[in-house]
Amino acid sequence: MRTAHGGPHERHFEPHGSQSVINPRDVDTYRAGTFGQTVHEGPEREIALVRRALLLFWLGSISIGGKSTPLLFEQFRRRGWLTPAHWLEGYTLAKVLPGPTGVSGSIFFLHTLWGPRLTPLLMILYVLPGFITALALSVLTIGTTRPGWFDGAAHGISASALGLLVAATVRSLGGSRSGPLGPVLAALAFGANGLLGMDLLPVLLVVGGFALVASWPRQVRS
Amino acid sequence: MSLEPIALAQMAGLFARLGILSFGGGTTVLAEMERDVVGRGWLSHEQFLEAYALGQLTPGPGMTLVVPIGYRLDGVLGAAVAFAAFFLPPAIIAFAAVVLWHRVGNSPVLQVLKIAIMPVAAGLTLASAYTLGVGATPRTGTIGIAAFTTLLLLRTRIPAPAILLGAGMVGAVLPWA
Repeated sequence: MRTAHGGPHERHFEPHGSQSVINPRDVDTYRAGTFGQTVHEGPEREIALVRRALLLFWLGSISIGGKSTPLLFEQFRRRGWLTPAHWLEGYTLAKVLPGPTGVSGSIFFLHTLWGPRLTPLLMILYVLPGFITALALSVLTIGTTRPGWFDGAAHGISASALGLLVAATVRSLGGSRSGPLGPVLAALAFGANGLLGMDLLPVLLVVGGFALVASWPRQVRS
Repeated sequence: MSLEPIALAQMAGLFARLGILSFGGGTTVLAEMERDVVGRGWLSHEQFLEAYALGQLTPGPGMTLVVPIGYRLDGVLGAAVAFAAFFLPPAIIAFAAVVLWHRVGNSPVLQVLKIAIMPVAAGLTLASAYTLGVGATPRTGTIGIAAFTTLLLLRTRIPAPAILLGAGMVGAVLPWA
């Protein structure tokens, strides 16, 4: 048993990679302030494959609401397997990789804990409940004769989902302040893809490329 | 609706492309997905919004809305193809990147990339909300529920699925016609 961040007698826990050098103040979704906690490196996290599989299937089943990555991390943190430094590293990496953040973030955490061989299998078990549930809901609600109240409920949930997207947008706008030209770049991306309906690829290449160029010298200087 | 194999391949190609382009989170490609799916006549805007809502009610990583879209187009096969097409290519890329990352080690370049991507992702998420909002039929009930949901999510700690289900119950008794 080791401690992740602490005094001079404590060593860093490096399961399958290096420790993060990312600034802890950059945490934008995790605010627990739990640096300096105990991390298990030995048999505690080397649980049987069946238990790992069941754990991932269970975690994949309960992470409703589009917050699967923080929930997965939190479960591992509570068990003393990962530290907030891993969260920073994994979350940042997930943000810059293509695909849903939940997928790439989970791959990072699983790989960090159990290496490359088990990650694909555990990842499949993790996303399987979501697919099964979505399929079951689709079978139950699509292509069937629906009573009036059911259509009303679907309208209500759809309207609420729109509000959910608006809330996610409001929260994400904080991210537009990163970098010197952040708000301008966000406005450009919104205008091109939202207002003008331009294809995503050229928008990403042009605005993303410009954002990279604008951010690079600032980091090098710092 | 049942798709021809070519159309199924087109759908897979579309979702694979969108999956790979979704930098900064899945919601960044919603506007593009809506335009493609509705523009090809596969779904109406209301059906797309319903699929998005259904995706929010399911566990695991977001963007499972591709499952009801695929199911609507070609049943269980369509759902499986849509899911695999959207999630598998970026998952393979992410896996390769993570393996490489753990071998090469950490780098400030990652932080630079994040700083560069975050504003673009914020703008694209705003574009998604705009596209889905503009396309929605302007009903008092829709606007009211959407506004109340936004307020609850930003001001309280009520879980999103509970709010969605509550909105469903309210919607069931509202006169929508």
